[in-house]
Amino acid sequence: MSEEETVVYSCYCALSEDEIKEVGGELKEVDGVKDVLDGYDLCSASGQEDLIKEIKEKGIKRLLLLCSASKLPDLTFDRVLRETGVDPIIIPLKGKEDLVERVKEAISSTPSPKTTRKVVPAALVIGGGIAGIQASLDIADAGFKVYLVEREPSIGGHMAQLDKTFPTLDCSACILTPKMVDVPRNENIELITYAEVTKVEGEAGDFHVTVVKKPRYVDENKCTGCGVCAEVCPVYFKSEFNMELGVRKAAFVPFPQAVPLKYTLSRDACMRCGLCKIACEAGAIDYDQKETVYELNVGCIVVATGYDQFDARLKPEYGYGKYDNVITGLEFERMVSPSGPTGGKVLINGKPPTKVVFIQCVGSRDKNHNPYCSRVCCMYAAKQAHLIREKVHDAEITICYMDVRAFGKGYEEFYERVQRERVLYVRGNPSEIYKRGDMLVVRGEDTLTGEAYEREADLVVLATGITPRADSKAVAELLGLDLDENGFFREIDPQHAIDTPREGVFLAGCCQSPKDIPDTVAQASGAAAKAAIFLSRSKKAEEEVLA
Amino acid sequence: MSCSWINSWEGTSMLIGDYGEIKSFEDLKAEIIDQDLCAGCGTCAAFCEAIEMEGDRPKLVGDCALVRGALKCGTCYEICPKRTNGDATIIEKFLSKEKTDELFGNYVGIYALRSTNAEIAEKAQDGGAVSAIIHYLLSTGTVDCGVISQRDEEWRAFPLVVTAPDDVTKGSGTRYAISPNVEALGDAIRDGMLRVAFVGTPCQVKGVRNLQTKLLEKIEKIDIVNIGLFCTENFRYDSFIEYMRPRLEEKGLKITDVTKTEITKGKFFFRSPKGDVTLKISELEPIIPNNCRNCIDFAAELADISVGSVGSPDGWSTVITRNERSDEIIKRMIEEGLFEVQEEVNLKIIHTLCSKKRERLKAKETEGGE
Repeated sequence: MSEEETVVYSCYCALSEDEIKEVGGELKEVDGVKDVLDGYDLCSASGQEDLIKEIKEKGIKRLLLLCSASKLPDLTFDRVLRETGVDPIIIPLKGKEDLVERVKEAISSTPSPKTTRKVVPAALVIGGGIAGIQASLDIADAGFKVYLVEREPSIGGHMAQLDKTFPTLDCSACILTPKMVDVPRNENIELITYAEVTKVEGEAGDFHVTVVKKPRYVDENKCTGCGVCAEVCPVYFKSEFNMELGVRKAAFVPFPQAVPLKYTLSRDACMRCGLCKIACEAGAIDYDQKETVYELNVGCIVVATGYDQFDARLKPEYGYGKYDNVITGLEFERMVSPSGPTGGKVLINGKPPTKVVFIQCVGSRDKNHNPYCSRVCCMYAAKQAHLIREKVHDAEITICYMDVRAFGKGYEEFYERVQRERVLYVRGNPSEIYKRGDMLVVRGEDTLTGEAYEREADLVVLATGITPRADSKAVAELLGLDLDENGFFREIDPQHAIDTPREGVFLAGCCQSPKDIPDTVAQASGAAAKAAIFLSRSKKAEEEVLA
Repeated sequence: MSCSWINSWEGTSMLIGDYGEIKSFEDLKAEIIDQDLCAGCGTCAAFCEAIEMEGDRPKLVGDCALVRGALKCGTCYEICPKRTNGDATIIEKFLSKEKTDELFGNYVGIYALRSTNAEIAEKAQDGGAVSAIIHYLLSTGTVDCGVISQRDEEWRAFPLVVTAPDDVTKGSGTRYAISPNVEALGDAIRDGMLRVAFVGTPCQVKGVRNLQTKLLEKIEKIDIVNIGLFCTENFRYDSFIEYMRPRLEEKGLKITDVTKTEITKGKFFFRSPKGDVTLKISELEPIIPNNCRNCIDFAAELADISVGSVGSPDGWSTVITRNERSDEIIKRMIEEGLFEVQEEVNLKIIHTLCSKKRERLKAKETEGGE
């Protein structure tokens, strides 16, 4: 039972003037209600000004606010709280049937103590792809500490695997690596690579996060990245960064521009010859290295865990995994990259292809697989077709499409350019790919002419779609988040792609939904802004700002 | 093992680029070990944790890297001396090209030497040259250790790693049993002893050369002085002792009574205070191991220094240096009075034994086209 008397303030979005006249009397009768007031647009700037004035003038100690919104962002009336010390208790109203009951209930509930919430002025960014990198740099530049945790030995994510980006044909590594390099250089960012988040406890403003860093068997403080360990290592692995098209040694960096440029040993599967240790001049090899556990205390979390590619084996009619020359979008990127296994040459069985067919919407817009559109595939296939045209002048290049979605800035122009480069667009999803002699045959129907066709090809590129990461369910549970019907992290509402229903946890990049690089970077900066706003509530920030 | 760049499934995508054939211990087993061609040198076991010598045969005691997720290794297969040719690369890299003898190979100098160190000379098979050289290299700090072999009282042989010069005489004397010295060489290097004086039979010398050219070539601080022994054949202990014991018992001897074994003047001798037991060379025929039958290297042609009794008088060793550095070592030892020198080496008899060993392979070839 509250000692202070409560004022019920109704906004006209909840109850009209007439309704208030009706119910007002009843409400005033309720034990503990001092007064019933009303006003316009209480959540707006002027509305809050009025609230603040009234609270101060009338000495209101406790306020129940009736509003129509089913859910208001928690910080809506933050200004009122800060300027008056009174935190309005929101009662979302659907109708006035149970209004009196609900007011009684709200009054009789014990008010939560008016403590200033603790906000640790630090952020955790999970995932070191372009989204995580951008968010980290922005939050750090806003003056807050950032822990960037990345699962792989290097940051960079999928963008580091791309050759050129659409529509400008910028070299992906060239626009990414400057940002990558800025990360460890930034005083506010602590980069923890080859590590995963294993536990998240606490609440917004005061999260306690456990991060486990796997042993590289290389002392990062001593390793100079010289690579002599890899030179002397006799054991090869399929290179994961190169989509298993090329090889790496047991002592490796995933790619030459890795950040941090520190080697990692796949010690579980190596020969244990000991040569890397002998050859290392810096004495950086440490076979007894154990995993390191970090306990971090942060105010908010940005989730930027990225995406997986659709598993093309789920469409067996396209022969992926059966035929050597049916490859996926990312595999093509590695092949055409100068840092890839062929040095950028487009080669099939050692020779350039003569007839290339792209198939769009593999796994996307598909009743049997993912119903959504993967958003980037039309453009990346056009880009890849362009790259083939550049490298193999007289190859026949066909793109089998359903629709061409070239919606972004410069996209439509790029699509037209690619068509002018003699890339043929044939409408209709092929039904099957099979082998005839030395060549593959793509069978489909041209839905514009209505004619069935069999198209020969010696290279087929499947534009596989963006899907959620295989472990997104586990990560969602870890973070207390939901997944949407397609398995991506759920945003708070369709109009706000960054906030999640869990306060203090924000989303950036493809982990929320498929998107291209410009949109990812924009969303990442948006997430950084949200994080910075949240963290600006910390005592430290207030001291600095309000001093 | 999860990875962010590829999905968490195991892709069966194509591999681009020529990374060669993928070989493993299984191939080595099928082509060499199970064909009874294995020399028991220990080269395959030298650097791989999964392979260990059990007696004179390698055994897989752990999982090969390929089973644990690696794509390619094949090191054991690549370095096996019974498998490879590749002598030209080895000769090019390590040996002097100035003088070449058709039968005993590239050389700089040929000497008949006797150690002036009393203890070495007393225990020596012939001139004590190998012991003296390793003693010298250890005393001067030129190497961190010596990899030699030793025997037990029943004349089994084992590798031995010595760091103190005086311990060298633990390996004095010839023993006719396989000792997989190259495995011990691998252990010594992995323990941080990177400069090693190694002594072994020609197959072991070749194994070490394979390591030097295919596995260790990029690590310059690893330095191996490769000393090879003249060798007609060696024996596997079990078949040797089974064959010899009755012949010893005939003369009232046990194997533990034997103080010296040697092949000289065309015969095999067991020397003991109670008397000698002699066998004709032809009597050894049944127990010559298969891998020795297809070897044509008598004089350890790929070594830095080759040493044997053939070509020198009793109590002296023939020493062939095959590159400048080794010749320098011998010359310095002579200068410092560590060796006595005899001028004349009987090249004819060395030639004869080289030819005989080459003929053995020819005979084998004409026999059954093997």
